[in-house]
Amino acid sequence: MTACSIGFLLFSAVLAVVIPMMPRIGVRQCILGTANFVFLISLVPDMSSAACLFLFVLATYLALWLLRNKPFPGIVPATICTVVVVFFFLRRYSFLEWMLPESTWRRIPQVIGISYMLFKFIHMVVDQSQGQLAPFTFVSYLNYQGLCFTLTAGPIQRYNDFYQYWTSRELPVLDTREALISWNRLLTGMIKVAVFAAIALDLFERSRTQLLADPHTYVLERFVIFFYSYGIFMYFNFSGYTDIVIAAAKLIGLTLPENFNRPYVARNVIDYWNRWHITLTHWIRDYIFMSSYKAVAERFPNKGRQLGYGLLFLALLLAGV
Amino acid sequence: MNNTRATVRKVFREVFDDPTIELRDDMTADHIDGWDSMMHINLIIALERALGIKFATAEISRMKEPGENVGSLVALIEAKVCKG
Repeated sequence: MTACSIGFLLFSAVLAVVIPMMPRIGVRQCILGTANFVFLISLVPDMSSAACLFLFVLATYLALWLLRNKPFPGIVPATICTVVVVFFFLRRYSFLEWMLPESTWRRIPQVIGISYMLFKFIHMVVDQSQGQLAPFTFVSYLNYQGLCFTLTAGPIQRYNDFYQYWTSRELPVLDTREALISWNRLLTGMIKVAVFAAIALDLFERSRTQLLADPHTYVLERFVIFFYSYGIFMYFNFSGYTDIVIAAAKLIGLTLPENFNRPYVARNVIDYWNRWHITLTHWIRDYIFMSSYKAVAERFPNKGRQLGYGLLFLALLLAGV
Repeated sequence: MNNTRATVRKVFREVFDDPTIELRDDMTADHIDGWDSMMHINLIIALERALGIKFATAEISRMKEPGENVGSLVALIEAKVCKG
């Protein structure tokens, strides 16, 4: 079930009706947990993939439990490094191909949503080690990681915000106007993905085919369409998806962070990255750039700025990977 | 509390190299020249050293959110100083 589908529309409608009607937290949690499970099952291609995903979540939960209950020196970097290495293998990055024989490489299952799970896990590890994380159980962690609205492509919600919703005795009640605004946003998101993104992608494919077929003939409009259509496709596809999931979550009383703010009117590159995939930009800023720059600037106060630019490049490189 | 505010003002002046800075609670990064992400961390490090406190990543991150300003930064620092 993808976010832009009739299935997800019905799924959202059922949740929007059922969850706000449930007065007890436990029942609401059961319904949302079941919804997360159903959504996940609809995406997982086979049993090995499901088992791998479950093991990843279980192992990362145990690491967090260890960090909370029996911490030891070096546990934070050791945990993060181990999980990042596992992540590289599960994502089947081609630069690791030389380390594994072909037969093993082929057997690594496809794991859904693992990138966002990694981002959330690192945020939880760092915040837990600094005493900033809300209480967690296996069930709350499982539902945070597998939340149907954010599983495949964000936005990256911080755990404390999710926990506040998860344990909230009374959900915010949407009035008719707010509910209509959310439904409007959800349907607009679907139109963005199904119509505008599809048209832009079609234009891109056509212009690419034309350019490849006849690379020596210079036609300005072909280059203009080729150059801009993919960016337009990316924007409508991703921001449309984000509109769908933010609106669907809002209908059950869950406020997800915004992920786009008119990125193509940005004044410069920094402004652009504060408008495009905002939650990922903020995650990179907080957990890669700021953490590493703070560590470096504390040790080398006179060279902090020069090293800072290097770290900024490194953070963006890692984000690209 | 006034001591803390005076120390925070002194740190701001040193980090941004501007002896004329006067802090107001409603001030944000937009009000001070050169307050970018790197200067923000330099400011945090200088505040930690001057006041003997430690900021968590989540706290530093929250300072960048809309609605956060010098007033909320000073309130956080005062809470940390009182905790000891």
